[in-house]
Amino acid sequence: MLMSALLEVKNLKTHFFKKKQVIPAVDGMDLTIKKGETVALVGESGSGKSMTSLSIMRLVPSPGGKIVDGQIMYDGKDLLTISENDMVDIRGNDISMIFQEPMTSLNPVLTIGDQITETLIAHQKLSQREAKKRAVELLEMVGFSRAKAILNDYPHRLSGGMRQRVMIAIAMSCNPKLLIADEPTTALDVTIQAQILDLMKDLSNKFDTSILLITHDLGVVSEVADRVIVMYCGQVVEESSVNDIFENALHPYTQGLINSVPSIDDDIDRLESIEGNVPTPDQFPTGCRFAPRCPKAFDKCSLHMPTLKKIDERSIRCFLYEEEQS
Amino acid sequence: MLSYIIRRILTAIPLLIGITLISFFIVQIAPGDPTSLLMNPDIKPEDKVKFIEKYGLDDPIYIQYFKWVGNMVQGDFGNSLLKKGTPVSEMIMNRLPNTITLMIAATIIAIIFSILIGVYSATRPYSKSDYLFSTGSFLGLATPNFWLGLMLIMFTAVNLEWFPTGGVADLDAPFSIWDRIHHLILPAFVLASADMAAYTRHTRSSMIEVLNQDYIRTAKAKGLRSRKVIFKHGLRNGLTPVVTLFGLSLPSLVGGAAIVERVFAWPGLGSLFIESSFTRDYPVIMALIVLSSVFIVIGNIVADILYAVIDPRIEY
Ligand SMILES: Nc1ncnc2c1ncn2[C@@H]1O[C@H](COP(=O)(O)OP(=O)(O)O)[C@@H](O)[C@H]1O
Ligand code: SF4
Ligand SMILES: [Mg+2]
Repeated sequence: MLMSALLEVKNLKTHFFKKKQVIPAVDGMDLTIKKGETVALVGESGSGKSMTSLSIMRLVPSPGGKIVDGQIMYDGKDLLTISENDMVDIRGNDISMIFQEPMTSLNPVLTIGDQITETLIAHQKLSQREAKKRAVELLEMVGFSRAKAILNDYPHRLSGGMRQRVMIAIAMSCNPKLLIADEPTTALDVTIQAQILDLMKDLSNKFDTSILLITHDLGVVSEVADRVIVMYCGQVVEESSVNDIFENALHPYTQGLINSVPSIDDDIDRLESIEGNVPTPDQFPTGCRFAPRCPKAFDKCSLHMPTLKKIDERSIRCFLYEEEQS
Repeated sequence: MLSYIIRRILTAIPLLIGITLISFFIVQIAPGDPTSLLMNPDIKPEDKVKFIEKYGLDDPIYIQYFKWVGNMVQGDFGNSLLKKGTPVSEMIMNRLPNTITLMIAATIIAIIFSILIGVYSATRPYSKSDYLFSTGSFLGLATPNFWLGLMLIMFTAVNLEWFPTGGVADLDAPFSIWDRIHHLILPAFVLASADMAAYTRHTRSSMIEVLNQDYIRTAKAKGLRSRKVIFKHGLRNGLTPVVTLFGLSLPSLVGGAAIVERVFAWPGLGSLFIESSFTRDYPVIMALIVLSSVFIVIGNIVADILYAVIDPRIEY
């Protein structure tokens, strides 16, 4: 199955500048998303997942954050070099995004209807009336039975799960090519989580939308993703198909992540977790960034940084696999 | 919503009763009485008695109070002790339009400028222009109205002759809107200055906070243009604290109007109040105190209702 790349991120570097200190939150990130494919971006909190996704949207918090290097190729253009006006036309239209916090992601003083229709009016040049009609369809599509009534409601009247459905309706309103979902279910109850993931999966199949699903929960990944990218300290450490990752994770960090996923027959005490914490970007080690926590680390690891090597259909950043290649 | 408004008005009634009581008794205990000021010391004692009877000055105090309140509710504020006994309501009606014009103009100036400057500064915090406006608004807060008024009169009216030095209109010219506006600009600007500074500070800090909220990021991620993000998604949230401030700043608007009217010879209620205080014209003083209190109470109710209109999370 040959699919063409929809979005290609190359050597992306997004840094924060605080009081003369440089914080390399994203530090040479590579990522490719093909048409119709669901890619999971996983990694512990603080590894740079959100900053990667905000960089794709060119919405890095500013002042403070800045994209300092790299390319983001979409539709033959580098998103990092086009004008802000052109970028505005892409956001919410070609590439849309939903966030972790459904409780605060909607504007509290505007009606749900207003917040859905304004996107349609901005991108699709619909009239107020047409946009309203379309908004009702969208709300029904994401599972509201009383869609018309919801239009005039304010966000504080809806539960977290319902708000996330509204966010999905907004994000899907212009049939985007790519939906970026940054931990869309982390803040929700477990039962609601599954429903929201199902909904996203359904819609992406129906509209052939690619999804970049960001999560720190590997359980979520196995259910919806085609491919997995594991991120650590602002870089990719492993990339492979979802089956390969769960059956044969290569990178010691990925292995650690998988071993720390609770499963039903496991009891909590036997759960392994990776020792130590993610270093903050101002304290990245000089060699392999995982070395201080890696159970398989050897001399070379703390001296040099391994590069991302391709092995068959997978990529890996670890000295254990470099020898094999050469 | 309607029941909220009615409830709000009903709860204001005890407050208004308190205000009438306090203003009545403050005037009662003030030193000096009108007979001593008004009358020739050589007046015949029987004339003095007649005067006292005519104005009910010998009734027990609580009777005087109830009479006064009762008449006031019917729109009768009594008669001036001076000026040949002109009805107070007539004196007030003559001056009221001037004061209302001045206050509305000052409020509009304060709101428009503070929103523009506050939003501008909030979108580029800690930039040079932000510092410039911040300094400007601290100066505005710190400068007393009368001083600012006098300085402006001296430089822009006397020296440069851009504006008239005072009054509402040229006395010898026919009525013209432009002439009125020309007279209005300086006093309205001076009256606006203090509130403008406070509103600007509040708009700026509340907009900085709002522009960092998640829903602003959502609005940007939807592909809205930055003007829409700031004014549609930001400003409505950013204005809520400013609306509260508007209610709170009404007393200073009323007090400021008295001083500004005095400085600019603006024939409004504020200058009427000051004139009446000098001549101890009690019926006028009391009527004005009650009126301004009622105005402030109503203003606060309006601010509360506006607040509820802007923010749908507020339950009535
Ligand atoms: N506003 C900010 N200012 C400074 N540093 C930041 C800011 N936001 C994020 N970072 C840095 O970027 C790193 C990555 O953050 P993020 O992308 O949010 O991680 P993730 O989404 O994987 O949890 C964080 O460890 C933090 O140090
Ligand atoms: S390079 Fe060394 S330290 Fe890094 S993950 Fe591989 S074995 Fe561990
Ligand atoms: Mg994150």
